[in-house]
Formats: sequence, structure tokens, C-alpha cells
Amino acid sequence: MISIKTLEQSFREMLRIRLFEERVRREFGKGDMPGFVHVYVGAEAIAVAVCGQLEKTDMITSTHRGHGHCLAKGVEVAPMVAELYGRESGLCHGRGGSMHIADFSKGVLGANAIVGGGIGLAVGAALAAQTLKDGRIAVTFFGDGASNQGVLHESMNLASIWKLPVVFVCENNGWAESTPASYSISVSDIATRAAGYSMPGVVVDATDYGAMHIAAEQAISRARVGDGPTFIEAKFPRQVGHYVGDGEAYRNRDERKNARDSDVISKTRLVLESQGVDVISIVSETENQIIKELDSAFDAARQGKWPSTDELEKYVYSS
Amino acid sequence: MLEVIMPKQGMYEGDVTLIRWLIPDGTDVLVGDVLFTMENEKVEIDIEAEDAGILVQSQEDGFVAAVGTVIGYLVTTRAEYDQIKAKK
Repeated sequence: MISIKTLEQSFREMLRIRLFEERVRREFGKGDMPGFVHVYVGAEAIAVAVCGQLEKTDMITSTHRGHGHCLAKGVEVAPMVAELYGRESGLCHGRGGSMHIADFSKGVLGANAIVGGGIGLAVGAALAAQTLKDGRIAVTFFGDGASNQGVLHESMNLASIWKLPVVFVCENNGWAESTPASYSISVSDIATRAAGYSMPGVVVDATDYGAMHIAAEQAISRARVGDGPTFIEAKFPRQVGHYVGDGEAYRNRDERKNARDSDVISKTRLVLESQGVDVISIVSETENQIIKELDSAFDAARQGKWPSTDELEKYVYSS
Repeated sequence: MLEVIMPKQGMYEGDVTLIRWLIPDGTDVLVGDVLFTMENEKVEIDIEAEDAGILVQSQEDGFVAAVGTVIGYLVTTRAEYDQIKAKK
């Protein structure tokens, strides 16, 4: 069991991410944000439970659906929003956009548009930490679709034989874009594959914040003390389309409705209320704070300077 | 008064078409009600209401415009509804 205080704090953080993503979805509709966006709605417990228990110096690699990981790891809202709009004041000076947000100062080694692209990077970061003996650990987030990529096999094997301080977090929302996991994955629980690499594999209901928190705590602590990697499969139903604007012609509308009925934020709210916590005040405080922050971030991003074409090649390589 | 727009969906940034309104002008709508169908790159997409309110349609079925264009409003009172209609 986790304490009510921890649950309350995590609820605030999940709500903050939800409000950020709802705002992004709405602003995206206006047509002036370039490219695609994929929102983290429904998965908030995973980023908050994991990143909330990491140190600032620990490292994560993220996915195409990375806003939640970044916010939970402490990335600031205004430069994130500027990056979504491709502006010079963005975290990557507007070169990255939604799917390539990185903030090394917060240990965010990068969102990644390549499915499974962050997995090997996190294992490399964990190898560096182990070699340097600096006490840091690495976490890689990836989806159920990425679990079928070859890089996961290589990465889990190396992490296991070298006992690397890394946590593999598979966010299984049941769909790899428009392909159902029930069709494309040979096992009903991806975590059972961890046995093939002699590492613990844990299945967690990511709509239960407390369960997610405990699973993350155990995996992080195992990595921290040098006992090696853990594979967490965090299961939750997908509430929204793969990307903003996905008409989801390939799936039944009832499934989406059922997914919304088991929403982690609504469920956590009920738990807090049953413990006598004043949730209405928490919600209004969180809303007031983030809405103000978002209003100013979106205004600033829209008015922000575009990167200069003269500097097209700048930042192509990092050193 | 909140704007109802034809939102950008996916990558497509060209013109989109309001195929048809699915809820009549002047109806009270709730968040999540399917307001209209639009076409974007030969794909028809149903768009849900982002806000609740009384629907004021300012464009008709078949209207073509850039993504993000306003096609109606959601207002809170009948007086507001009448006021917008009177301007037309």
C-alpha cells in the first residue's frame, strides 16, 4: 500500500499531464502546430509512478508519445510547447518537435519517432553509468508494438548478462497503431518473455496507481543496488486514437468507451475521496496553476521566432 | 461563446470539407456529442463537441476551408443564440 500523501501528490501530477495533453489536442486542431501529435491520455500513472521515483540525474528514453514522460521527469512546460511549434525557443531549438523532445539537463535523452528507438540508447546509458560508477540508472519506455522489434531482444540480453542498472517499461495499450496486440504478439503477457533473459517480468494494471507505484519502486530499487534489470509490462486500455485525428475506423466505439470507464485519474480520485481527501480543492488548484502556465506557454510559442534557415545544419550533431 | 472549428487531424494541412452537420442548429449539446462529419484527404471523420452549449451553425454542409476554420459556436444562453442569429 502507498500512503495517501503519495497518492495525492501523484494524482496532482497525473492531472497536470492530462490537462497538458487535452490542451495540446485542442490547440493542434487549430492547424498551426506542425506534424503529428500523439497524446499520453490514459497512461499517466506509468510516467508518474516511474519518473516520480527517479533522481533528477537518472536517465530516460521515451517514445513518439512522450509528453507525459517529459513532464513527469521535470521538463518545463514553456520550452516544451515552443518545441511542439518548432520555434527557436524550444528545447531542441525547434528542430525536433513533439516526437523528438530531449532535455539532457533533466535526464531526458529523447522522445523517439522510431518504434523501439529508445531501447538501445537506455541500455547504453545504463552501461555508461555502470562503467562510471556514478549511481545513475536508466529507464526505457516503449509500447507493445516495439516489444516485437529485434532491438528489444539484443538490449534485454545485454542488460541481463552485464546486470545493467536499467528498467524496461512496456506501455501496453493493446494496439500498435491499428494492429491489435491480440493478433501480433505471441503471448498474452509480454512480461513472460523476461524469463528468457533471466530477469524479473512483472505485469501491472496501469489503471491502478498504487500497483504501478509499487512495481516501479521495486524495479528502480533493484537497478539502483546493482541487482540488474527488470521488465515491467504496464497494461491499460487505449482511450484515444493512435494520433490526434485518428478516426479509428478499425476499432469498435464501445471499446473506447469502456477504456474511458477505467480511467486511472477517475479511479484515483474515487480512492482519495473515500479517504476523506478534499479532491475538489486539489483539482481546482492544479487546474488554476497549469492553465495559467499553458496560456502563457501557447501565447509565447505562437509568437516565437522560427529557426533561421542559415542555421539549418546547426545542432545536427551533438557534442 | 466558444468557437467550433474544423480541426487539423493527423498530418494534413490543406483544405477540408464540412460534409454534414449531425446536430441541428439551436440544439443543446454536451461534451462528446458528435457534431459533424468532415472530410480530410478522402477520409470522413466524425468530430465530437469539445465543450457543451447551444449550437450555432455559421457555415452550411459542403463548406470548404482550411483546417482550423470556424464553422459555428457554442453559446450558453438563448439570448446569445438570438443575438448571433440576428447579426446574420
